Amino acid sequence: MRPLAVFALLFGLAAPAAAQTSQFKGLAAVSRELSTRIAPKHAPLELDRFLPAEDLDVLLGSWTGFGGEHNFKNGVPNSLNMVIWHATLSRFAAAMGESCATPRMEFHPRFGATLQKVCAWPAPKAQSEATLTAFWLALMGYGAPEAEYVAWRDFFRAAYAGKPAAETVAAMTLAIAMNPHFLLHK
Amino acid sequence: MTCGGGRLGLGGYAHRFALLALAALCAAFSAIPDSRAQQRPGWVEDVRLFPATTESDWAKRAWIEKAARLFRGGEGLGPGDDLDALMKLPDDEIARRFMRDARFGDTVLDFNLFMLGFKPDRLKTGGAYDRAGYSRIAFDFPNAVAAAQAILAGGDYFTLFDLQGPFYLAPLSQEPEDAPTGDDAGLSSAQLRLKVIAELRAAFAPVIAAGKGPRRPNGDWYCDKVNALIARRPDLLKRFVRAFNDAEVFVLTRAQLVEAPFEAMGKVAAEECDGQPEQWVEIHLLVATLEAALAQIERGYAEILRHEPDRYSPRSVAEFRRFDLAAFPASPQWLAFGHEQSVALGNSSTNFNRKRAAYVLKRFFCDDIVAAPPEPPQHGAAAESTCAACHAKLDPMAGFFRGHGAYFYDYGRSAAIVFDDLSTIERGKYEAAWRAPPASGREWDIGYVRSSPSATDYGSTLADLSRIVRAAPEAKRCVMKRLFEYMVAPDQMIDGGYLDHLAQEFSREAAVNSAEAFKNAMLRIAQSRAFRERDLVARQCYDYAPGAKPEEQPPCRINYVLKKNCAGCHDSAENGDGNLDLGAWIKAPDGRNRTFPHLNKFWDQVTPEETLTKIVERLAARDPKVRMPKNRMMRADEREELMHWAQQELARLKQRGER
Repeated sequence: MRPLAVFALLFGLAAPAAAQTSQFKGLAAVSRELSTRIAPKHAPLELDRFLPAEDLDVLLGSWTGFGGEHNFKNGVPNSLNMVIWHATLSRFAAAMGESCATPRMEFHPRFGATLQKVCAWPAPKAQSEATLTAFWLALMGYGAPEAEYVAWRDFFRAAYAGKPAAETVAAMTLAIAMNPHFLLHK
Repeated sequence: MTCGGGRLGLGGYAHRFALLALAALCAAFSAIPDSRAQQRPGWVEDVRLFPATTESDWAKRAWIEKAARLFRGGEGLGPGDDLDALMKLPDDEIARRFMRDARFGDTVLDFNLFMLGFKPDRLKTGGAYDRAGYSRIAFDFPNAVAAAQAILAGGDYFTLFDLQGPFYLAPLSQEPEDAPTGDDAGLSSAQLRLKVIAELRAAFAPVIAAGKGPRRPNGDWYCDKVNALIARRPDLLKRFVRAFNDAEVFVLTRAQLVEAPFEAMGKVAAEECDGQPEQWVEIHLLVATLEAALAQIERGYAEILRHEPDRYSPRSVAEFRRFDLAAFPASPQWLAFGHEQSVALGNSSTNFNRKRAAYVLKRFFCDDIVAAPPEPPQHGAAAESTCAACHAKLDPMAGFFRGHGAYFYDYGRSAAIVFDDLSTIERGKYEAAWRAPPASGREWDIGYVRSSPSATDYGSTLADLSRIVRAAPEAKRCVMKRLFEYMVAPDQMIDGGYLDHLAQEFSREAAVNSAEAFKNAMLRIAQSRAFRERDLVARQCYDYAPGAKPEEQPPCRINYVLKKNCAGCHDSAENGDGNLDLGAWIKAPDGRNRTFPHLNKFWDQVTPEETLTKIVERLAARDPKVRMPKNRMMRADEREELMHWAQQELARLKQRGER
């Protein structure tokens, strides 16, 4: 399974990249989307706070510019911006996992309730279809095909069956946030 | 087949890599639903996702979410949205419901900024929606704001094309450009703004008071006082602007808030004080002039202070407030080019406004001259024709800006013009570049040049340019093209016929109500295949005009390359270069194939083979006299793609002929 998976990964990444429109949405757009889904209106979520250093957001796909016309820059995935995305979203995911014990950011009450259910992991209720669906949709929305959810759900039910909640929630969040359907303009 | 496995759940680096890989693996395997079902662990409940029940159900939810994001300023569905209720509505009703949301104004403003080439990442700074402030850039393009407000109010969307009009001052800065020092230390920006106007009043007060005393002062003495105040202008101005940031200083400068009243004072002082006896100096006139100047400054300043953040913080585009331009000395209309455009579109002493002209052609007519620049000239004659290809369009367009120098400052009433590179030129000499020949029947060679001379629109002022853009079908088509790019993807291919269809519908409806026409156009694109489709291929077209048969056209990509590089000259079999029309695709004389309209010297349609062979020859030629596009650069990948397609077509025709 594993060599096949690595092959599939490499093949899957290399083949269609040149033909596709897909560029990153950019940190501002992703922040806005996520904030609408999980944060209360009075305390919007800004992913900038999870950046490893200030002003790196322009490397994650940005329209910003002064002194010239604005074109979307740094939107094509490359090794550098992938590292920054990963570092940023890992911090966000870790904060989400830590929120099982102590909230690290302000959540919309409805998402807060969903998070609390997932935080009961590995209890069966946390692994239920309803809980996992609610968590997935709260972060991802409907941007990804249904099959993506199924794969994500099955992976965590199998690979994280005995892991603690904080670790699992962080990993679940990172897996959603690093999904191309979440990060890329599609 | 699943996307996971127990061993992938490792810690540390392996764990992170596994998570990274997971997403891609899911995508790779997701196309195999049967095997996925076979390997699903037995303990997984055999229930489908809640609340989606079918593929189309999921697709509709995805569309609703995408539409919500589009129509509500980037904010998709949230916990407050009743998705199940929306699911029961038809698509157009859903979209119209979203358009009634206050955030739709953000979408239109964001699109307008995209259209103008200055889209930001964020229209708003941090904070909750109902408390978030708009960033400065949201106010910097008054025509974009006016057009967005027009959409919300059912007004005239084409105010977007008005290059002079209202002005929207952003809420004043909370922090000065430089941190306050000395006596100013510790003052907030708002306090500093009150201090600088008080300083200005204090400078005027003793001079006015000296002229209004019970006894008439000596005329020479009073003139010295007035002239001393006028001489302090640079120093007073320097102290005055310390309460503002660069963008605000730009506004103060363009509005001539302080300079214009001082100039008026200088004029009266010169008339009263220069070369006449002390007794003849009309003190009361000088005093009145000083009072009028100060009142003028106070009036403008009071209007500016109405934009202190504690008094003015619009929560939606509809709440953006029009500045009362009557409060400024001489600005009945505000130039649409704001601070950022002024920095981006400089006018140097050698550029002669051509950068601004290229900008207008690109942004309002979707005619990007820079995208297909001319090849470097080889020799005299070629140089002339090479340069003329662009300059024939650029120079007449640049003339509309002939009165505007550095930072779009209006030098229309000055003897000289100052450029952004700080050099100056006498204005009459400068404007001679656009004087029309005496026999032409017009004063200026200024206008929007089309390929047919009779179709060229001439004008002189920026108001004329606005009128030309408003009337131009190219501009409406350009709005549709940009709207498609904005809603789908900036680099997504669009079929020419489909774009024409969008433009025709938009033009037809805009003749009645441009705001409704714009909303309908958004709705059309939101319902297009390209908008609905996930994982678009950039070089593929997804939508065609009603009744179009894409299988009977050259591939979309080829049409795009031809239109960009060739169809500008080869636009008619009767009048176009080489009697070839590369913008049409008709039935060939054999009745079996299709080809471009292409006439020989006897005005007969030539065979597809002959046309294609010539295309290949001209693309491959090295001789600049033969090589196409003539005297213009063409991207190598586009040349190769066109060549490849023409050769494939030739091979196909040959095979078909052999059968």
